[in-house]
Amino acid sequence: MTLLFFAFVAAGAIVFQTTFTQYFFDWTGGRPDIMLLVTLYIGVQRGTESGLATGFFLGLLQDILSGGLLGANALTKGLLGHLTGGLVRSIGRRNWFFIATLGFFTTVFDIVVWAILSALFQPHIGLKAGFWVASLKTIVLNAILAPFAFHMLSMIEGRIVPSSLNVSYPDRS
Amino acid sequence: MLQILSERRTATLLTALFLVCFTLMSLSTRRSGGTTLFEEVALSISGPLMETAAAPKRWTVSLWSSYISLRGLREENLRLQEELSSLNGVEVRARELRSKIERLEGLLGGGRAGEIPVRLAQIVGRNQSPYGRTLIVDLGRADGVRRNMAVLHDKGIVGRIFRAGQTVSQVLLITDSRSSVDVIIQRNREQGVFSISPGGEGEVRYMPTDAAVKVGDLLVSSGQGGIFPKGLLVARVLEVSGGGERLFRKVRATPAVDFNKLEEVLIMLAAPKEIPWK
Repeated sequence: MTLLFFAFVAAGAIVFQTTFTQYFFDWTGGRPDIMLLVTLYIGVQRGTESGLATGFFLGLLQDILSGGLLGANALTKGLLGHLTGGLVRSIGRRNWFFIATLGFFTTVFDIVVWAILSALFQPHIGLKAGFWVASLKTIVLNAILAPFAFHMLSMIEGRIVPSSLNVSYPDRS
Repeated sequence: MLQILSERRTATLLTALFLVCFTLMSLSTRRSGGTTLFEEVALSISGPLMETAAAPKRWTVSLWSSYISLRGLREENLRLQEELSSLNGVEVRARELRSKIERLEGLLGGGRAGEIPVRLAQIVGRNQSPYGRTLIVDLGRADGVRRNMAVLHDKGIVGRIFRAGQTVSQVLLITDSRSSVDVIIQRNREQGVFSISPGGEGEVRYMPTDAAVKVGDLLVSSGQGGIFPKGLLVARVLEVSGGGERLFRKVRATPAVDFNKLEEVLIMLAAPKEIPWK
């Protein structure tokens, strides 16, 4: 059932990222990074290794779908999945403010590291039009949406893997 | 060895992550073109998911355009019939000119090899994130779509096929900084190259200082890039500056297509080599 949950969440993330984020773009001019929010959730709920694996695969899919530098998102999201798992183990608080702050700073990290990798590996291309403005909108949207995404994913996980309900990390991993 | 790796599991995983990702990035930078098996599989898996997700929106739009927005159809029909009757004369003249052109092309020993087939494709996903500007369309290799085929819209050029999966394909927009289109000014046939500047604005490069460019001029494809046919609208000139002792003019232009409002596109089902004007 855990595998089914992972497959369902990955499929949902792809669909949301490529289809529904257009609505956010129409309203706000920016797009949230759902792949990152899913990675954070898995990191928080299931620890460093699951976070790393989820971040790597979702990041790789994002690289393929965006046509960008292959491996850049896989690296940043893999790292963030791993770091989030370790960070939450020591902090141990998961209220909505903490999750929003987590969404904010991890998105900043994701974007800055991606920009550095892009500058290193494809300096001839440079950053896209209005990269930093679009990124700022993504950061704000991710911070706002992170608590909602966590709540939704938690509900879905409870339905698909009921045995994980009320079991705190790391026992559920 | 395996024992050491399992003891230092976290370090091993992180090292593997760095190694794999840096290898992928290096290969991605060096690769000149084509689609890897991995990319094709990922596109083929994600394609049906995106098509399914986009279906409710398509049905809603279809319902709207089929029934709800048909109010006022009678008036529009009458107006269109009037326009049509006034265009009949123009059509006759156009047919005559076409047959004349074909006759002359035949006399010159050349001539075009007929019309290029096009397929209508629905946009099932889009990625205009800071990481790239691409669209996902619902036609793939199974429908005859191949890399570098031109993607068009009735308002102008959209982009080219970047990756072709089995059932879906990825379109690289002309607003992506990796794109450029060889263009000519429709009014006076001056040549240049339309691309996106590092600042994120559309610009026409290599336009000589003595070129007579004006604000509002239409830029059409020159047909020289090998991907896009000649004479399709690309962009409109917004601002012209420079001149004097500079080698080239600075020309700012905006794409003819509004990429945020696109719902379907046309794919030209002919590889660049097969295009008769190449």
